[in-house]
Amino acid sequence: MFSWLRGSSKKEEIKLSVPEALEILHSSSDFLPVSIGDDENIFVMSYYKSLIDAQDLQEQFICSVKRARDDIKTLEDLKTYIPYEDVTITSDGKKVMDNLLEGYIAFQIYKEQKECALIKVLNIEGGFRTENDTENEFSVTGPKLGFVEDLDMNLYMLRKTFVTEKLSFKEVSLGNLSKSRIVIVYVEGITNEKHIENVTERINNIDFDVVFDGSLLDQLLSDNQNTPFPLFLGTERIDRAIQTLINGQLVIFTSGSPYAITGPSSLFDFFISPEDYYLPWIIGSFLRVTRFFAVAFSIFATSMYVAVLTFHYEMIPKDLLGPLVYSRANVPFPPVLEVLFLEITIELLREAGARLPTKIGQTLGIVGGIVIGQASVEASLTSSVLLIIVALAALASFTTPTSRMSNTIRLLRFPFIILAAFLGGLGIVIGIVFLLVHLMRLQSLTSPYLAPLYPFRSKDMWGFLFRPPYNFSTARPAYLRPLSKWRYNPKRGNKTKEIDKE
Amino acid sequence: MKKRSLLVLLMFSIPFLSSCSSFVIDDVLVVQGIGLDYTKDGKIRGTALFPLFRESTTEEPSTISVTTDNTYNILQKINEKSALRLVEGQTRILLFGKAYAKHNIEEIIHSFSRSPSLGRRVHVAVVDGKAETMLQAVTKKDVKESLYITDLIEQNIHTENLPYTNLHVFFSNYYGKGRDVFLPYLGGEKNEIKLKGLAIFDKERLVTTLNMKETFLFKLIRSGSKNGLYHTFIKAEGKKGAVVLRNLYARQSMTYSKKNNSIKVDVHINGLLKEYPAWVNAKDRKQVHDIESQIKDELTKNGNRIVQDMQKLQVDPIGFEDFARSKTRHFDWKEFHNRYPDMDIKVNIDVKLTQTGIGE
Amino acid sequence: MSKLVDEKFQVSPFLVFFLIHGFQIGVGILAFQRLVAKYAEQDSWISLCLASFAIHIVIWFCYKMLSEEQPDIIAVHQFLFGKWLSKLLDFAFLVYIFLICLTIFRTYIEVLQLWMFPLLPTWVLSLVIIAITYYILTSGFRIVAGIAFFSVILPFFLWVMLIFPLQFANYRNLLPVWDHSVQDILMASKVFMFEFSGFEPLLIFYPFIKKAHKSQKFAHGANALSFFTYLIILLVSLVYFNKDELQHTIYPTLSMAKIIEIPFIQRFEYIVISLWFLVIIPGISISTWCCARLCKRSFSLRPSRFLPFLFACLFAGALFFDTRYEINSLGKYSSFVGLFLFILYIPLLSILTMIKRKWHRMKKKQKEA
Repeated sequence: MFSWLRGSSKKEEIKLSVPEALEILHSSSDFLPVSIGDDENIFVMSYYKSLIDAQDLQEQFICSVKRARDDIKTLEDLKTYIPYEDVTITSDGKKVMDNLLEGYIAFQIYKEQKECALIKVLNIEGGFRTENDTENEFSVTGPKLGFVEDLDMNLYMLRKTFVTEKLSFKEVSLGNLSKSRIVIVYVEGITNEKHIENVTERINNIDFDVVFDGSLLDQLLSDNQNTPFPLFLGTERIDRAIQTLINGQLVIFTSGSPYAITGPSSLFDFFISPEDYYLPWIIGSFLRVTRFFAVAFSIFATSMYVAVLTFHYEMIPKDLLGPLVYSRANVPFPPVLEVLFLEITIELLREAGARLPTKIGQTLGIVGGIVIGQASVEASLTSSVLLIIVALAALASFTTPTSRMSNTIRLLRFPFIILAAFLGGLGIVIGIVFLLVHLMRLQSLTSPYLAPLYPFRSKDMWGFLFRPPYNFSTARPAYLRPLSKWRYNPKRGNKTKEIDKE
Repeated sequence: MKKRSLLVLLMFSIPFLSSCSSFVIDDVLVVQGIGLDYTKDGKIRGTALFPLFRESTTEEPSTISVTTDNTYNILQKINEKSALRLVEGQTRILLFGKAYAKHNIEEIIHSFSRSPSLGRRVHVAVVDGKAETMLQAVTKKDVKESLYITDLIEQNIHTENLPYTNLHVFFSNYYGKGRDVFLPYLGGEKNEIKLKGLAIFDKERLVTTLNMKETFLFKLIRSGSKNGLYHTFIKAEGKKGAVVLRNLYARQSMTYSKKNNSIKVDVHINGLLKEYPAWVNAKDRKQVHDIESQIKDELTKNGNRIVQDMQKLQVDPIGFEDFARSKTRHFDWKEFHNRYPDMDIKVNIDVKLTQTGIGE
Repeated sequence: MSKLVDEKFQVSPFLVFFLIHGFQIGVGILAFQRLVAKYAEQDSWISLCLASFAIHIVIWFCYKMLSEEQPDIIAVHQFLFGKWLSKLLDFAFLVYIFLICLTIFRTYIEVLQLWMFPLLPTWVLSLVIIAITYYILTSGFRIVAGIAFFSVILPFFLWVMLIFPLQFANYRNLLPVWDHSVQDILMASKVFMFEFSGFEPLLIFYPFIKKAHKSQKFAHGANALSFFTYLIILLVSLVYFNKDELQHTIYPTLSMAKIIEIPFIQRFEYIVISLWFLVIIPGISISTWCCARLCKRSFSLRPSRFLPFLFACLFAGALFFDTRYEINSLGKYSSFVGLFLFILYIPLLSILTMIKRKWHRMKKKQKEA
């Protein structure tokens, strides 16, 4: 009886009959066996009240059954009289249980009948939101539609936007306690089948109780769970998901989550914002390059401050010596502790700001930032130069378009600060080597994480460092091993130019 | 896996032990100038100039002086007088008092050339008098800046009245067999700091000095230049007046002839007549030519005089020896050195005035 | 004949360029000017050309020797000398590569102790470098090649910094040309030969390269780039320092870095020395990887057991060679062995292999006939 506790319920073959199954489900108060008509044992419907669309049930089903009451002798007759098409007749108790949980009703002609008919009367609306403005992945231009929590709605939106017969879905089920639906989306003819097989195999090998969100699935599927770097690019935006599909990546949806994860991704995917593609290529490239510099600054600025002030005083330019020494003159801590103090303050501000309701959060953030900063400089707990650096570094860490990557960057700063405190400039270089080796070892769905940079492919590299104009970005990135290389041919449209020349 | 994580952990815990060699900048005394003097009773007096940041971001330069027997423990002795640890990494100026320069600068050169914490853009200079008084004069200036002397020298180098010199050039000249050391020569009275010219050394001893006009010529003869002012007198139509020549671009070339034992230096100056007496008519080509040739003669005469002085003193800051070496196979230093005082070295300076200012 | 190494561990031939070049540029480039200028002074660049050309020939010999049947030097030894003698020769090769590793390791630690952290004990830095090398090695050959790649690419901006010493250049230092005897120039070439000694690992990692025979052009390219690098730095040093000053400077490259000054960073040599860690890491990791691989192939020792022992030797060696004099003699000894290896041993092996192969082929033809 307690086999489900042992977690092996997927593999065991439970042979249940329909009455036994219905008996097990009686324990929940929203499970109702209701009979249509006066006699309790005739025309028994069993369903979960919380899942059923009551109005549909009344109007369509019960009405038509009542009307044809005399004509329905067997379950087969039922099919002709009710306006539903998806009617299955089964005697497998397990299947009945599964389907009842999905919003079906089980109809028996008489109670204790060994067979029943399963009809879907699911209440689709209710509870889930229908719109998502994707505030987390904001862009000034471009569509702002995002995925919602309802899986079918997501698939509908995707199909409506990406109109092609090659778009294929593959549905699996995951979770030994709550069966969540996972849908793998790919484009036939572009996506390499190895990726699809890989993902399917991995999902089948996962044993987990409830998969709440796409990000949970992301962690369960990842090649290496011990890394702070995100191995799958997650997105709530439809256009972003479609872009990854075009390149030859997969998109994986989870029911109950608006967060779709895409893979295999490389490090540089996390610095691409869809807005780059909606702006002219010069501006897009400029913004992207700025982003790279901002990230480098964010990681290294504070550690360089610590290294220079603790070990390499000779490197300070003569005009800066005055302000630096004076601002540090009364600070009782060594530079490391000063930096850590400020960094932790900023982390506190961030966390606090995230938890508070918006109106209080904004004010507190500004007040906290300014007041605490100013006060700590005056109380000589930190130096003013450092305050500027830390604030700028914190700002710069938010330039990454994906929030998961900005969390990683927030974290990466700390080991560098500590290494700089112990070995100065050399410590920073050691940290860089360590980081490089770690990144090189990472793989996202067996495709290397530093893809166009480490197994070096110059053609793909241009596409990631800058945003090339549309006549140059015709090929798909090779590290994804797509089945079809060319996206479009820019030369075909050139004939129109000759007509204009008069 | 366990072994690997153990080793990684080990790596991260080891650096905890290395924080002993840190120089946190507000816990150290950053020396920005060092001065060395030779006292009458044969001892060395060393002075260190450093900024204090007591009240605000503007610094207050101050000095500490000690007397020792030996150049090598000057910094150590100064450390004994200081509350904060002394570090010499940011030293920008090294001053030798005249007595010290005349005595022997070998020790300090030896010490500095092997020190890893000094940069090579340190300026070195000789003071007519005591280095200590000069460094103290820095502290008494109205504009509080401990890098006063460094800025003074650098600024003069940029306006190119002074040849480019820093610690690297100094070492090159000192260690190089074909050259001799020359350094800026500072002086001043009553807390005034002035650039007086150039000090010429013979290996490690000061032998002579040049004034600013001679320095300009020295620079031209040595390597040409791109800037600089020269002031002289001209005579025309019985009247005497002063002109100031501004050098826009000067090219220098040397030729060496071993047989004739001669070196010829040709300097060609493209100049701007910055100032000239009001009675000169700049539009008149003949007058301008006349001025040109007068300036030319004066410059050539003075240039030759400088070179002959160097030859007499057997010093070679201009680098004739090195030039001869580059033109000879199997060069013999001793042989050239013996020939040097009698060599026929001629300087020929040619002036071309291209502009005369915006007004007439 | 089955492949020696599985394809998923192999790297593309393009990376041979970085593997060889990364190993050739190590600590030698910091101090070589003084050693060569002692003999050839302003004609050192001629010695450099000669040495580089000689190394090109040796690399050509290497590629002739290595092939599908004998993809690395252990196989060549076995092919020529039989089982037991080849083990002895493999061991000698292992010791040589270990010596190179130790030289790079100790010299870099010495540079750090001299220029940046005088009070830092040797063992701290040794442990740090060993820990990182261990992490790299346990990740496999692909990561070793990747580190070589990054260590060539990332410090590339340092080339721009050479403009600053040129401000003080005295081009007359290079004249007169060819003022020294041939013997002097050859003595200087001898020093250079050791600086270019980065290609021996090629004999061991050859089976890890995809389409290895196509990588020959990359190997020659790497050598050419090393030649170019040394040439530029040598020329700049010669015009920046005059030859007497050069004899007084132990690390001319770093002393040149002292003159670099950009608006907000005063003393650039600290950045150069810190970045140099990135430059020597491929040297140390490739050589330790080679030692581990030699052990595995020749003596069938599993690397996971052998590596801790190897690192312990490295650590002990670093502590053992303590003074300047000892480190110097370590370098001299390695260079002597290295010279013998290049000029005699590798060409000899190559010629013997070619002869034996021809003999085998003739025998086969005889059998068929």
